[in-house]
Amino acid sequence: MATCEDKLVERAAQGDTEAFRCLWEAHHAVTMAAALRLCHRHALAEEITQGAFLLAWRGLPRFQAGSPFRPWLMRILYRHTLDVMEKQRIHLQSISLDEVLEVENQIGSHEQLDLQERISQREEIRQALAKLNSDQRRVIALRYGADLTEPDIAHVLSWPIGTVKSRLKRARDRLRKLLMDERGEIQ
Amino acid sequence: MNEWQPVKRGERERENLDERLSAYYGPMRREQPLPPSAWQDLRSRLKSHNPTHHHMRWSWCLRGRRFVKQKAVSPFIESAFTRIVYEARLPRSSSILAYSFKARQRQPQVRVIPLARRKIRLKLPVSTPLEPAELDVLLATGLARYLCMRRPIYAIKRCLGYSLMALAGVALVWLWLQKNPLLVFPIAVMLWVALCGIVLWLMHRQGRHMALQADRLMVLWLGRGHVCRGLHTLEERSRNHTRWRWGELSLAERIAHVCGSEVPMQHERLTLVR
Repeated sequence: MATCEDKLVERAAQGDTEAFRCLWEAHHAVTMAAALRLCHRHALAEEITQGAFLLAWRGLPRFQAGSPFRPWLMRILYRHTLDVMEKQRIHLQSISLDEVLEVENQIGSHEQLDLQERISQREEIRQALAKLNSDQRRVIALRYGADLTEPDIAHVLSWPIGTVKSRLKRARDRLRKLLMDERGEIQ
Repeated sequence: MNEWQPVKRGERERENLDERLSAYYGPMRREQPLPPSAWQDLRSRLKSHNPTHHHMRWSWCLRGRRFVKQKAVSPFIESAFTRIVYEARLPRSSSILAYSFKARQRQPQVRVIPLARRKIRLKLPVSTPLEPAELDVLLATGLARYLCMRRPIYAIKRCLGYSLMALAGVALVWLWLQKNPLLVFPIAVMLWVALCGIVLWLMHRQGRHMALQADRLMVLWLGRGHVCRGLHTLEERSRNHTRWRWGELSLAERIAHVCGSEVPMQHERLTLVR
């Protein structure tokens, strides 16, 4: 049975911008939240969200009629976010105090940890992530920043499941080693 | 008892790492609505996706053809190639690019010949103008494939394949000259054909794998949106976009890989942000 959203998708695929507007209104807030969680930067997340909708608009004529729209859009968003983050080398840019505060306000974090401590912990992880290769960063971002399971990651990145598992394991091992080395140096 | 200590420590470390990474990305966010002006901005960009708009904008390419030939278009192609080289963070090397306009060419094509002086060969149709995204995709495809072909592992595998076929061919000739019994030679020929078939199939697989890698590189340089647009424009121009050649991907496969617009129903579980 065709739902209201199916009809909107069908109309949007034929070039109806008003139908696409309805889809944008229904989904942009969640896609923005997902992008923000991955990249931690509000302006960039906004740009990524809009970019993902542009990609979706472009791909709508090829969209499988009757399929749910949200998973398809999220897949586009995740891939686009990871591409943009790698292209702009976000992992090399340290997180500013304002960004940490903004993010924590949005999450509603009321932890009693010292702010300085939280920033240094974030910075430690960011520096360790910067030392991974691009593919390892992608699987880590999707596993922990999007809470996707291994089969879902394989589907989003179009990789075989075994590749996802091995890259995730290698990424974890390397991160553990990097973070332990960091601790050792501090002590 | 002591045997279990390293296992427990490993598990603790793993949990600790999981916790730290989860804390880094933070919990699931609540919805983040964009300002209403964001839709206006997006809508203005949707209009620019209309292919006729680009045709009008770049129709000078077609008009110019009547009066000026290849050299007049060169700055347009050269500047696009320079931009892509810059995006790829490579040293400037426009001398590896050659292009030509063919009257009978229906759709633009790019070929990479690693041993030639001009390694990337672009064949463009005379009759229809080229959109910027289309040109960028062609140039980036050429450059990315050239980079992938330069990798030692690719070159070694390729050389091995050709050497194996050549050696088997030499052995076959030698066998023929030896005037062996009549039955031996046909068997040797069959074995040689089978070997060549297997090697060619493996090379075909390698070529397709390399093309996929090159497309991934291209997405990193140009952005998925731009590449997607370029591929779709090429598809519109193509008569049969599902046709593939030896060692090549079809346009439909490239679109499915880059744009990733096909998600079957069973993957609804991907909706994790609610």
